[in-house]
Amino acid sequence: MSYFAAQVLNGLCLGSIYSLIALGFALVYSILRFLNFAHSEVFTSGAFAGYFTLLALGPHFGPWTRFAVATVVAALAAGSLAVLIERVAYRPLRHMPPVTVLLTAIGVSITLQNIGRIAFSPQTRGYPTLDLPLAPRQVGLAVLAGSFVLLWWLIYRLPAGIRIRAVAENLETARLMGIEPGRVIVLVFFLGGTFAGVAGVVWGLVYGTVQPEMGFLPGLKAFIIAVVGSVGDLRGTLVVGMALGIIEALAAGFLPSSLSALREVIVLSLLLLALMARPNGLFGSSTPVKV
Amino acid sequence: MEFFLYHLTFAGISLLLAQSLNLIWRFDRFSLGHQGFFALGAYSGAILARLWIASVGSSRFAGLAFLVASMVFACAVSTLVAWFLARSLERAQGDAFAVATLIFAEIIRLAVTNTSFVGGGLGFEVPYLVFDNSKDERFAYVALYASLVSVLCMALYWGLRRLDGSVYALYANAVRDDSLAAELSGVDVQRRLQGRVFALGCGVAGMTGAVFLHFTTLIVPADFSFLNSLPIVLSVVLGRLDTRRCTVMTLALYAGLETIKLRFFGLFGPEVGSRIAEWRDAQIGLLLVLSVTGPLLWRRLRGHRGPAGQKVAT
Repeated sequence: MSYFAAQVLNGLCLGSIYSLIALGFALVYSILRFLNFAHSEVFTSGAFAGYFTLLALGPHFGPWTRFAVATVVAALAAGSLAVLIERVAYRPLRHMPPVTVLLTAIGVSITLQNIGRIAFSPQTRGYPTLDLPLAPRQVGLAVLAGSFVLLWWLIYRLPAGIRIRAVAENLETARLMGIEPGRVIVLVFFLGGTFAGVAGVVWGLVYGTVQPEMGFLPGLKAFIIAVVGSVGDLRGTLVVGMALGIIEALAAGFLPSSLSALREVIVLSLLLLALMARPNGLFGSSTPVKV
Repeated sequence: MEFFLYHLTFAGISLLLAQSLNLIWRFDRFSLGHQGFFALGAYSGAILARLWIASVGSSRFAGLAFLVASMVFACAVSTLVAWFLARSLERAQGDAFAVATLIFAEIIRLAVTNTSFVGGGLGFEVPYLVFDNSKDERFAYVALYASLVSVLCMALYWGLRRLDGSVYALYANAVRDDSLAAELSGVDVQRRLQGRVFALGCGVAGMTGAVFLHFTTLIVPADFSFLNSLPIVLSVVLGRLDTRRCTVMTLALYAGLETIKLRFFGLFGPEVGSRIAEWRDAQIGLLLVLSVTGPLLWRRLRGHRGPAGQKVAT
């Protein structure tokens, strides 16, 4: 594989991770109109759940089994954490202004980070390697692509997805139609958390390390991807996330080494510029936000 | 005595940051990037020091002049950048603005981490100005900064209290109530008010950054992380956007956090002290959650169910 193609693959993988986290933000935002800052920690918790599952399974099982079990456990753990956060921290705050809930979410995020630092120590840990016949990036990309298809099918084809879209469109009308918004909100948090958990495992597998504060930067980028990208549907988030991932990978691969250290700065600056140009990507748009 | 003055200076630095952030928040601009402007000021001072501090020599008067010059320079840089940022983010409302400022602060932090001209991740060190930290001069050195910061705090407080009684306080209330209605009644919300207030608040943060640089003489990018700025955000939240309450809360929070950091709770056994210090961030986080949800839960405990006709829980 040529160097360029490898970088593009790298970027696609990174972009899919960003997009998958961003979809969690966008789902919650579309219904509750606030930014769930603690989503970064949900992503981290998924990575750690996968890490401990892989360690616990040991070498007795085949690599594919271990990978599959770790992904499922991570998804369930992250989903449950997201639902728990919703129940404890956000549910008492319905009908409060978004900034109020954002502050609470920051508080939750910091608390979880501290708990993670104490429970798992702040050191960076190496992720267990799996002897898969394919490169980790290819496996990761396949899993992420599968997740997108699954999410797409869920939201656009299944009755639960129709309920989610109805509540996102208009909560009060959906209630009149017999939909229980409370349950849809729990479902949305669970879904967002689940996919963030999958993203966490793939991150660990591809980049090889986990650390309690690893969620901050990917979370921040996913944040803005959700803001800038989600003009109407999942596609916006996906496209912006992919573009960002590829830009970041190419910046890391092709810029001279003095500049490639600044790739995070470049990516964040691009996001800030995008936010300046399109502040209504998701926020404050007069048209109803669809998922 | 030096210990007391040392903490007075740091408390004053927190107070300057909290008051200026409070001012910005009062005008309905929820900035989460205040530490970015604090960093911008500190590193503007660092650039100035890198270029010209060698020419200051050991003269006290020249040192003082250099300190003032770097404060002015840091303030000017931060004000200009903030004004530009506010202008470009005019259309971003509420939480979009909050996230944009947070991103800006991260950009500054990551940029200085990777710039070797200002020391990179290892930090930037400046020589002592005016007085040095030797045994004879330590008191004078700490006292100089303590009085400088106290004067700045008092000036800012005086200005903000004057503002409370002026037409700008009415503007602030009008903008917070309903920004569109305020616009219709002739307040040029975006350009005049919010942009200028943001630039002013960030300018104060930048100036504080320069003071911080020359007081500590060593700055590292981690000093300006989002995590380290949370006590400031928290004191503004606890202050409920009131100048006087914000002052009290900032000082109380600074005292509380320093007590924890200094393992004061070691009185109950060394284990307890370090355990409490270890959980410091979680305490800040929980306090942030409680300061937002607390009043609500309290009201519900006492039997209120929110405004009539509106269900509190869905």
